[in-house]
Amino acid sequence: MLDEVRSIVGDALQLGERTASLQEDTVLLGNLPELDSMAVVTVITALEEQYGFIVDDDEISAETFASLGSLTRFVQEKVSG
Amino acid sequence: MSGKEPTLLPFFLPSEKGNIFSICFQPRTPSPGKHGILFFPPFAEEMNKSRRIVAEQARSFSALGYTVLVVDLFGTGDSEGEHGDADWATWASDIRCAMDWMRQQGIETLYFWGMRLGALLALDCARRFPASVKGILLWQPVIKGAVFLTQFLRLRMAADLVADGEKITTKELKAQLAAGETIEVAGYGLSPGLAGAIEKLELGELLKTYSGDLLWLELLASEDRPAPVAATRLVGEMRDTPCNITFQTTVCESFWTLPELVPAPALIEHCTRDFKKTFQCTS
Repeated sequence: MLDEVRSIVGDALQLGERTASLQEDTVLLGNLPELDSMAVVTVITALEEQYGFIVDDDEISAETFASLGSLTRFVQEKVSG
Repeated sequence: MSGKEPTLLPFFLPSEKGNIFSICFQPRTPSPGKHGILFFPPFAEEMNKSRRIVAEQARSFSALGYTVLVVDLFGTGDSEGEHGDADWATWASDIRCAMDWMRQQGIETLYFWGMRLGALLALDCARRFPASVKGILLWQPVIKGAVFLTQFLRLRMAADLVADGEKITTKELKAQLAAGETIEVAGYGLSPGLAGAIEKLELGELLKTYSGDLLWLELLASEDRPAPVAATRLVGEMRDTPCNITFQTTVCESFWTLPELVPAPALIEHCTRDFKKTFQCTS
């Protein structure tokens, strides 16, 4: 699942070859200049479409986007919950 | 005829609530069928990010002899009016004025080309002004207005998140709209009237009102991606209806959401080729 989430983030931010370098502990929010509000929405939308869940605004916080790992854990909880 | 640059005619078209900025791509040699294509733009920032590729496609169409008209609807782009004063009915009347203008220019065979939310406006206008359009081209149509509205409202929440402030939720924004307030998202004013109109739109319902030829172009991020389930499911549901849908996919990054410019030669080439084939236009 980390790989899938990585590709979704890579696509939304147009990272190209840099996508592969994102690790579980790579800091996203505040570290990647491409991660602006538009990109946040693009990522959430893509995750919703890929996994078929709906994300409520209350479920999202800065912590969700802290790292690739935290984002993946969020998706795992949504999928199983 | 191909490869000839069109003449670009920018002008202000008087419409119901104000003048709307328009660009006409006039072919060097108009087609014998006097074909015209009217473009229905995507919403808000999606249009700004799409301008260059839309212009490239318009040029490609005009090289075949088709006249293409690209308008900024009331309250958008360089047109008069504030975005917060825009509403769906006004946009339909903008289109009416654009259609009349094209007819006055001698266009006899008219097509609608709608992108994203513009696709829904195109179908709605085909319904409002029946028997006026020969065929409809859709690029990545929005399928459910309510989902699209939520994604748009989310930009506010996301902006607050990135700025590390108190975030306002889409629920709170919808409450403000319900209370009659015009809100602001990503620099765009959004009135309760327009939000309400968008929320009710469903591509499936609109397709049922159309009984002509339709070319639906879905853009996929890469070759190994499947077409979105919602799109293929809807095309399947429309199979036994009078709406004659040709569904095609092409590889192209979603330029209407991406900050960097995206080259799209495959899209232009495929779209122009598929348009000619689907609508059997002879240039």
